[in-house]
Amino acid sequence: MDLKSVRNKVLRIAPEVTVEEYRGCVRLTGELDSWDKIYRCGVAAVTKGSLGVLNDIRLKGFSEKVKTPSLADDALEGARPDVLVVGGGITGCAIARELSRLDISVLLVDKANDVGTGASCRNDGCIHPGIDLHKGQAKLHYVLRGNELYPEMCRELGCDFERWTQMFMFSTWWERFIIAPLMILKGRLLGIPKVDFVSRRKIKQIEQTPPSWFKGAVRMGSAGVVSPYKVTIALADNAVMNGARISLNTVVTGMEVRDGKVVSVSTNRGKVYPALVVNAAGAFSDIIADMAGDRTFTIHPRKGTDLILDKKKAFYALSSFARSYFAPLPKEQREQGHEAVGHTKGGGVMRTVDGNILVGPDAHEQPYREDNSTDLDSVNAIIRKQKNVAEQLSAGDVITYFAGVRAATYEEDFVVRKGIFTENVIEAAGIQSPGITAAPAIAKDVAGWAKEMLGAKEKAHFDPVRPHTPRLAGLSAEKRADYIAANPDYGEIVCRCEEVSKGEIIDALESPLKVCTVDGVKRRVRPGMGRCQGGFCSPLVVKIIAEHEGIAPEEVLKGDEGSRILFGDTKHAEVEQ
Amino acid sequence: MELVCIVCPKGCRLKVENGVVSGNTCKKGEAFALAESTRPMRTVCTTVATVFPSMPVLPVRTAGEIPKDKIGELMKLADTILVKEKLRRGDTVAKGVAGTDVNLVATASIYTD
Amino acid sequence: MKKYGVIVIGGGPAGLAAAESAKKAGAEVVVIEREARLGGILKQCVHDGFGLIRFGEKLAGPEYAERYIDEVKALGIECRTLTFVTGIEKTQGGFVVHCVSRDGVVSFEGDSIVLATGCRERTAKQVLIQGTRPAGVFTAGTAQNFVNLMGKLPAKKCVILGSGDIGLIMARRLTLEGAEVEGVYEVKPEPSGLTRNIHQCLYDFDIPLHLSHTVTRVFGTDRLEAVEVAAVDGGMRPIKGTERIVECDALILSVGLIPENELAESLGVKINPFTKGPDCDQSYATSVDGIYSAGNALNVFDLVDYVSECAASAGANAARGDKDGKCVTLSRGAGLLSYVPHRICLDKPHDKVVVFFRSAKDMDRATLRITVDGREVFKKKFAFLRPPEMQRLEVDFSAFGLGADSELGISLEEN
Repeated sequence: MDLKSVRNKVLRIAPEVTVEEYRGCVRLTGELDSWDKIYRCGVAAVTKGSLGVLNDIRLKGFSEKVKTPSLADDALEGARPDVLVVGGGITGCAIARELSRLDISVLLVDKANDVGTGASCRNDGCIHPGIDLHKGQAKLHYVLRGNELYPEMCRELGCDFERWTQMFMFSTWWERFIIAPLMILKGRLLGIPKVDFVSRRKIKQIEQTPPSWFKGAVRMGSAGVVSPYKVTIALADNAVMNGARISLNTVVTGMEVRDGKVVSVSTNRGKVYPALVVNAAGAFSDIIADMAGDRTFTIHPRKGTDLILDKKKAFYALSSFARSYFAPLPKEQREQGHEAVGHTKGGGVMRTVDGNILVGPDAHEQPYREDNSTDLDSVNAIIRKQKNVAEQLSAGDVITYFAGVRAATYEEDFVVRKGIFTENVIEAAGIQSPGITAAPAIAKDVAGWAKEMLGAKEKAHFDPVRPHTPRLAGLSAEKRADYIAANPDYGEIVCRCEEVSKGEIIDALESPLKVCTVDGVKRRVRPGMGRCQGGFCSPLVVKIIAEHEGIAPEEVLKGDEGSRILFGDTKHAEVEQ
Repeated sequence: MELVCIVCPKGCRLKVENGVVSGNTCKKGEAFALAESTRPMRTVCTTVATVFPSMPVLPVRTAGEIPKDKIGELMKLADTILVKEKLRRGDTVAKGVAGTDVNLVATASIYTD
Repeated sequence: MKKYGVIVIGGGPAGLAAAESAKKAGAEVVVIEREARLGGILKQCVHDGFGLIRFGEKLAGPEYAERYIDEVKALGIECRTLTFVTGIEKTQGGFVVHCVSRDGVVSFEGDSIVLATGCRERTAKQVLIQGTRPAGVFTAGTAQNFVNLMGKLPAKKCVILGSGDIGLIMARRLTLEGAEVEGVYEVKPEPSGLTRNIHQCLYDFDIPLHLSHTVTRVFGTDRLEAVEVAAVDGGMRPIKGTERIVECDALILSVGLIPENELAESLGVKINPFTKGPDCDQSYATSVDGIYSAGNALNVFDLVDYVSECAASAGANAARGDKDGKCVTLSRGAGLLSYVPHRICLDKPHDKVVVFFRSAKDMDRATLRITVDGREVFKKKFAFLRPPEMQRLEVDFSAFGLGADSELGISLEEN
């Protein structure tokens, strides 16, 4: 590697930074008072021939209060799983499911009170075609394979999957005549199927309300949509069905590494002695890799915000589309210095698999790994920007919005590999967009390596099918009547906006991975996802959970521990009697 | 003394000077203003606990007005009441509450299914 | 399939009043209610003040509702509770209402429909509050449900955003139940609720009201830990430098009600941009023949007494089932926030039309005018008007010599 050139580039940004080579990586140390500078140093340190960037520059005065469960017990003490998967996002859950095909013991830990609470539930659920990727990227490899695996996987798991196309729309004739053919050619070179051109005439058959500036689009027929958290949960459920153990509210606090091997892993629930550790810790994956002595990368958290619109506005987009960013926006519509251009396509407008319109995301570098808060500037900027795309969009259409943190590395690529410095670890790290698409393929590779490393065999009776109740509101009257006849709870509607029945909520409470929280139920079967945002149904959902679990309503949590909804009885007569 | 009438939704702006009320548009308003300038009175609505799981609390109100400074006392009493019978709307829940001769009455019927 | 004269959707105060009057007008009536009990939102409104106009008494919400429920039962009106409407189909002779219930998939066939579907509350995100997503952010109605129906306390120390009536009522209710209400914040320079509620709910309990203030952000990852409040400028935008952090465990929102008209919209009913409810004539007929609208689905009322009155009229008219005829639009002039009706049907009785309106702003002395072809045909003076307080008057439109091409206008002028 050319360390001298890297050093020059970094020192031009911040002369006080130390640049050195460490175990084949470029390592940066020092202290700076601007996160932007730290980030730019990290980007400048990317170079060929290096394993990756270890950006250890401290931000002056910065510390993040990272959430850790207060629970402390010995539920896992002494456990000797063949594989310990750290992190229950879509990557970790997909890996756990693949591993559960093998005749080995699998333990997955996540510090939250559910799986899929990080970036996996904070993205748009797009199954990417991969047109924006490059040859040689791990991302491209996994996206192309993951995309192919989705339809079958969703059929097995009982998750909705739709091949709704993605379009890259041009607002100028020069883009239409220069960019479009180049993109179609790129698609062919990368091996992306079904990339074609959509003319002004054809767009009317695809979109009800295409943008007025539309001059043509490149359409990616292999794009699709899923509910990313439902897929994550379904993967976890299926892994549990097949014998994997999932321990929630469990945080990894340290690892003992001896002679290039992880010997034990400490958690708040006891010390675990795994034969193999899989790092799927998302925004914390560099920290876990560091614990395992195998770090070759650094996560720089990148926040994105998405807005969800009322289902009534579904006609805004029947597919998913964005405006080509090659031609600049007309001057009056431009945003000033707001986007981290280059690492997001600038977002767009899409229809989710559940029928809402989703607009966004944007992209902001931040030092916080866990700050998922939204801010007004982002929300307003997204509305202003995407109004260029969905021209009827107004703030009044928005029912809610959310932000998530992408686990980006400075190389802007996934780190999916066997351990380099530690022999019994596998990295599935730095998974950011398009990680939802990639997850099934990453899981195949990781499980393959684990099989070989452990000398494991396939299980005799792996069941890939996760039994589930279909969304009843989508059934024919006859089929729905059959369900209700078998269980009257299916006829009692709890969530009016999303038409969710009591029976479906109880089904969610009886899932293989039991998560009896309001958010857990919401992610599984959607009560509270509609336009009233749980205003009407949340008291009912609390009551159903309390009754089903035999607990008091005040013990029902919204999500993680500490998220109590109620503080007990208003009246105390009963206690005194 | 200037005040806003709370007898009805009109919200008339009343004035009391030496026991004479102005600004009112009805008799009730006058009575309200006079009481308010001497001893304010309020109807209090709350709930009391029941033994019925289908209706863990029963809405109640004072059948008439009680002095405003007795509201705290009434709330303390309401905290201790436990309804065990299937009361109907209008039934008395407690008699002569907070040192007055005003009763506490149910404003709904106990619902069981 | 049994055929009903009138199918009433919604068993709250509007639906009950509509059902009662439709039955009394001779129609076969069925009420469809999605909840387990009739009464709608009144079930949880344990405070008093209901029924002063209708019954001449100050009743609590459940009392008011039960009087109607008793009447509906006495009339033998069929009520289907825990029954949820999944869709309405227009047929040649009327409508088929498709539902699900614990009994299965059920349908009701009827000549006309009264939509009494009520309203929903605007949420924190819909007023662009930012930050995290902790437990402890409730709309006032949800908090009211927890306190008054479940008997559970959702807050120990709370901030209330919005001075709408439910917010004010909840400020008092939570205070009585032992929670601390740090303050009520209202983004507008004037309160949104009834004046008497400001007095009996806030001032009686020394709860501060901060006008021209809003909540901009919430903090806390699990349970709410604090909110940021800020003063706002004339355009209701937060003023930099005025932010203040208030520690609290709950944020309760009373920031507006939105009529629920998804069913109406699915039938192609025209929605009025100001009331957000269906456009209607004096009989509460919507733009689709046979579909009537009542209560807060039509127009968010301040008093349930008015809800009952207009719903009763809608019910009786639905039972009669007059076809739409020649109509004159009542055009909106200056000074009005909203009003009903929006048009006068000349083929239906229009000598005693009840007009409800709200002023666009606080007005100390104002004159309401109705004009025909620019000529004043009706005027009424008001001592003081506030947007939260709805006004009711009766107008004899038959005396104005209206024709199909008349230009009919309504306006409000401050003087």
